[in-house]
Amino acid sequence: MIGGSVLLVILIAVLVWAYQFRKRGNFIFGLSRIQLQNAIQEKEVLVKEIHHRVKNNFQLISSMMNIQAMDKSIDVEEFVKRTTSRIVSLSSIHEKLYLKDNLYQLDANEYVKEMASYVKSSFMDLPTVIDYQFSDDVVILDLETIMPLGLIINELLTNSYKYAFKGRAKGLIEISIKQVASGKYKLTYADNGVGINEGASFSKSIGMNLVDALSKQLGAQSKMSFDNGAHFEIVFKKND
Amino acid sequence: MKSSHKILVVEDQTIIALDIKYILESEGYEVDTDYQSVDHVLDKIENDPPDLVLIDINLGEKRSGIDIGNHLLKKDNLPFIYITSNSDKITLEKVKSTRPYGFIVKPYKKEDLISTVYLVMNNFQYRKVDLLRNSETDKRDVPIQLKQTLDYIDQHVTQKIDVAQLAGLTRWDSAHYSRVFKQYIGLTPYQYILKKKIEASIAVIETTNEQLQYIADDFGFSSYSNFCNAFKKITNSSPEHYRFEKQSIKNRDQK
Repeated sequence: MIGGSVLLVILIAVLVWAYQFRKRGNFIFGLSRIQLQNAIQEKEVLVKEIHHRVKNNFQLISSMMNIQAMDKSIDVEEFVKRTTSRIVSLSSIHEKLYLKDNLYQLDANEYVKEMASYVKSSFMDLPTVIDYQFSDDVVILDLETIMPLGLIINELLTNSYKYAFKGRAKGLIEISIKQVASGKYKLTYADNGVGINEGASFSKSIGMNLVDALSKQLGAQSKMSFDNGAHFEIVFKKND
Repeated sequence: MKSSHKILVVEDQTIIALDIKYILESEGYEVDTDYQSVDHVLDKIENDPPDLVLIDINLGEKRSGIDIGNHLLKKDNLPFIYITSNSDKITLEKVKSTRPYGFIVKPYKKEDLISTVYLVMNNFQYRKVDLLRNSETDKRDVPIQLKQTLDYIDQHVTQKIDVAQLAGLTRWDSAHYSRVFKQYIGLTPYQYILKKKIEASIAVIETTNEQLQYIADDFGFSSYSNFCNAFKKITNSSPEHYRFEKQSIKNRDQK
């Protein structure tokens, strides 16, 4: 009889313990499920954002091609070369971003070096030896700022390679991005080419239209002059 | 009618804006792509309203193109079209609530941009006609055969329409058709056709400077005095007087 009661008590104790254990188990399990759901949701938002950006970039490329197509003076080969160069200046931003931990920002001067070396390689047949001078400042900029900046530099580089050094054995291009005040930056671009005479055609070209439009997107007025080579300057704010 | 329609493009990516500008300018539109902020856009809509607004949704600031769409929905005086790469469900749900006149998904095709803009401009200009068209006759309880003839009248309002022609669209003879018509619509077919013609002509009188004689001709009236008589019966005013009054109201509003 006593043994029976003890057995019963033990049985009840075991049952209660098992029930509580299950409850606690559920509790822990439930929490992690919410966390998981949140993580999945976050990922979904990110993936959507990426799709949106990809579509937007396709639109950007399509728009640049439409605009370039208005210039009837260039042939298909030249059209493809200019378009490719613009695409590379966009794609190398993403290339750099996804190799980094920080997915939204990168060092502008480092990016410029890479882009400039691409443009150089695409003008291999040019007889002129062109040297670069870059800045070693670390200037961290976000995607929204660096995209228009990169496209501007690409247009300037293409212009220099095409027109600035005709009949010259050597040339120098200087590109630097520097911080000039808190949240304020300056891009300086200069070549020591032939300057105004041949460069003047640039002022009417598609390239210059793009530079104007992109400068506006950076919320800044750009200055361009062609005395003793091309000189371009733009002061812009960091995107907030 | 104005010779050139002005389109305001709200797009923070300047290259895309430039592309849209070139495409629409080649169609003869005047295009403003200067985008600074949502506030700046609302200001422009208030002080120097365009004829159409093209709106990108993601503008890189807290407020989006949808806020501009909402503003335009409340004002209800300008047609607008979204042009965006956001076509997910949540965005579409928000878009829907602002009742845009059109929606273009990026990357867009040049032809889609041109045709959407053209259609929206056109529909907006003639929305008064559509309002009149749908205003008075509730067609829900009308027999299907009769309904078909009503649609026929709407679609051929500028042509000469007679009762035999309409009855021919039904299984009835002309006399029976007229009786059924009167029973459901409250007017004889002839009165109804005349009313529709005058209503449609009113929209043209209001929105264009076309000579009244030509308008009468366009709506299939055999003479200008016939048109005037019909016009007077329905509006209690002559076409000349009607246009004069509308234009003086318009001028007063603009002051």
